[in-house]
Amino acid sequence: MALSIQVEEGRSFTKTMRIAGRLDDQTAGEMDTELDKVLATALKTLVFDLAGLEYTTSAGLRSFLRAQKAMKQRGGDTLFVNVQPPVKKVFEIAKAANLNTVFRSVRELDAYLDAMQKKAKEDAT
Amino acid sequence: MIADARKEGPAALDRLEALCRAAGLAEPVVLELRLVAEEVVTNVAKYGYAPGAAAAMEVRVSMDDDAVSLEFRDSGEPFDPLSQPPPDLDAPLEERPVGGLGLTLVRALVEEARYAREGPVNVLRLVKRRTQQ
Repeated sequence: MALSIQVEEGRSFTKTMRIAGRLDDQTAGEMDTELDKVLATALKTLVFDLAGLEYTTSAGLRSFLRAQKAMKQRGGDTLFVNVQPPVKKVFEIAKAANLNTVFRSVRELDAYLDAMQKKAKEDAT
Repeated sequence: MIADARKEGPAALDRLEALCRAAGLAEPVVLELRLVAEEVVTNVAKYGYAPGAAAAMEVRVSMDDDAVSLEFRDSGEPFDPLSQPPPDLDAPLEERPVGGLGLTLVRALVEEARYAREGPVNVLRLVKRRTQQ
């Protein structure tokens, strides 16, 4: 099963990586390559939309941990949305993401990002 | 029988998955069986044998009314995956080890796990219930 990755730019300094298919030893390298490209840009928030991700092995978890470490190092955030039950179970076992960073829907995620933007504006003035 | 897990591992895992699905197991159970098998096969392929040597192994599947049993046999270095110290999953992100997660998943997703070194062979037996709790 192949992996597909789409990168979308929405809000400023925010990128969404839509990961679909399967993450395993064969495909995690593709994800790391895309991830490095994304991390090479000015970025404060990295969103993983996992609506289409049906399966991940520990190789995929390592990539997600790598992403979170890299974002934290630059003072940014990594957020997850639409994590499907089989992948969520694996995330929970391995504690691969902080539960505060996992959103059930794009709507919930947008509300959070709106609040963050508002707060950033207020802090700036 | 897998002549070299580095080359034939993915195809063997596809067969295992198809077999579990054909046996009528629920999709989440099929994927979890594939996942535990994939972690074990990948481990043997990566660390079980000297670089360059064929990572020969065998995966046996058996089922009864209640459970699916997987047996993995390889003649690589003696290695008991069940005696490895678990990674610290609660360490802060900066210090989180990225290794050891595969075996953590294996242990969590099966009901029974036993390892034995039988002569020159590593034997890992995993048992998973057919139905999810």
